[in-house]
Amino acid sequence: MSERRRRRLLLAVLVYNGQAFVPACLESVARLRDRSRTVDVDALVLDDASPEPGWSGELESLCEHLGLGYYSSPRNLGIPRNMNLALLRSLRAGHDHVLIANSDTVFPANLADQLVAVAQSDPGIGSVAAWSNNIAIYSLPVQSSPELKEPEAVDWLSGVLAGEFGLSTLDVPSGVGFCLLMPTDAVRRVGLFDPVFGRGYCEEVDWCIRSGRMGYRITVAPGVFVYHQGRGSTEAAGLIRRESDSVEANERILDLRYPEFRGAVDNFLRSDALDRMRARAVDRIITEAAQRWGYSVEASWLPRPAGDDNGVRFSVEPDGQVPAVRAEFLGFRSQWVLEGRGLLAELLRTLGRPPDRVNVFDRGRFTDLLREETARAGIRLDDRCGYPERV
Amino acid sequence: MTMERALVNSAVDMQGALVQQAEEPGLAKVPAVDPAAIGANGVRAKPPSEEGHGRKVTELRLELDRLSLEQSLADFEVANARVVDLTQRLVDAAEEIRSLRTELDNLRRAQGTLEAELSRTRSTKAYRFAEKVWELRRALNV
Repeated sequence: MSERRRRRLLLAVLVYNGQAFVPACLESVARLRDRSRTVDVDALVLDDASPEPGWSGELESLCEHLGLGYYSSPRNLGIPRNMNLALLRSLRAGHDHVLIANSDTVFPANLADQLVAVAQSDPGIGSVAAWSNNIAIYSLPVQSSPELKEPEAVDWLSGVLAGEFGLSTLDVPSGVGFCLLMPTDAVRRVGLFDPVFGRGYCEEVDWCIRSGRMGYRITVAPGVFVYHQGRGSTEAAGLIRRESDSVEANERILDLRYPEFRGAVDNFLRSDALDRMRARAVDRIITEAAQRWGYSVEASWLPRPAGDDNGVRFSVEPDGQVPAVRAEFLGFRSQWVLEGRGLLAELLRTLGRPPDRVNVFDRGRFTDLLREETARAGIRLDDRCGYPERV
Repeated sequence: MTMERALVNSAVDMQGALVQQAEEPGLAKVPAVDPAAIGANGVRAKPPSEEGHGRKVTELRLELDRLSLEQSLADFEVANARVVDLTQRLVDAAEEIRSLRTELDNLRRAQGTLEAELSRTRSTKAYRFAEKVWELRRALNV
């Protein structure tokens, strides 16, 4: 019975300037707090003494408006010491889990339910990172687009991934602090972030490795998607340089402490576990999007802009030499191999609906087949062939 | 609250100074807090809020001030101990370097002496004669 009680989560977001992206992040925090079904979410915004004139006042007002806790440190403490406040607060206030997050993120409504359920699925889990378009070496392969960070898109993607992966996990060499959930029991045993990492970077890696040495699992939850812009506040703070994505001095501390870590990362990358998961994720996203919003098919040699289409775009080479169809949606790309029967028949069988549009931009064997298929199925084909596309 | 806030400020300042000594050099400097955002009593300026919400906000701020102060003092102790530990390890390492350098100098000197002796030996008539005998034996295959 006690397993069914609502879990308490402290979600702490660290802010340093970031007027351009923080409001969207905090609105998504308020939304997920209000829509979590199995978890009570307390949100805490930690303002690391943002120096931008007037911003801290604005931020406090925004937090008040959204009903989020707000705390401004007396001076700039850096990431580890600020996040330690969140860990300490969660321990003192009796939360079951604490989630630390960057502010250049947009969270889905199912974030708390999913991550907490994953953490609850195995008491050996010491940390769970959400999956994302930008999560270091674990990222989902997606071309960044403005639509990707829309709350509806983030919700939908996260829902689709939850449908595909449920509460499954991927064990990884280290978590990523952009959105990392830790059970407070693990925090109690492993301890706090080490302030030796100064203003931040690598402190969560250090924490995860420490947790791993104590027997905890370090995991990524592929069943939840968080949009992460990346480098948002850290670059503004001068913490990382434009051409770099880490702090070298802090990496040297990791190398000194854990000489085996880089080897573990190499071994992980050599395994195909992540690639298989990525392929499954993208195929599911494209399939669900096509089923929900429809799709278009085009025979063209040239890459074309997405246009006003909301759905998935499938494209093939006009001469059909390559027996594959490229699929694209919201920056996600996949390549499906055709199995002999006609393209439209194959798509109809897989997606359960015919295409909304068929456009041909050049002539070729495949264009002719498409013409025959559309005529048979009574689908309108838009012939835009003018002259050969390829030079 | 003002007193506690002042304590947090001062503890954080001390800790910051010490931790910076212990940390790797080359980290970006902590940007200064905008003075305009801090009132005369050291409390960050904030817009007025409603009564009930205000009390909750104050409680949260007090709690986090307290946690920050406690943790700053703990970090201060660790940073201090780390400085002592690192200094001791630096002294040990410097001593080891000095000892290794002395050993290296001695070995270099010994090598020089041996090389000079070898050179002297090679220049003797007996050595040259013996070398010719060996060449002859090698040529005759005996």
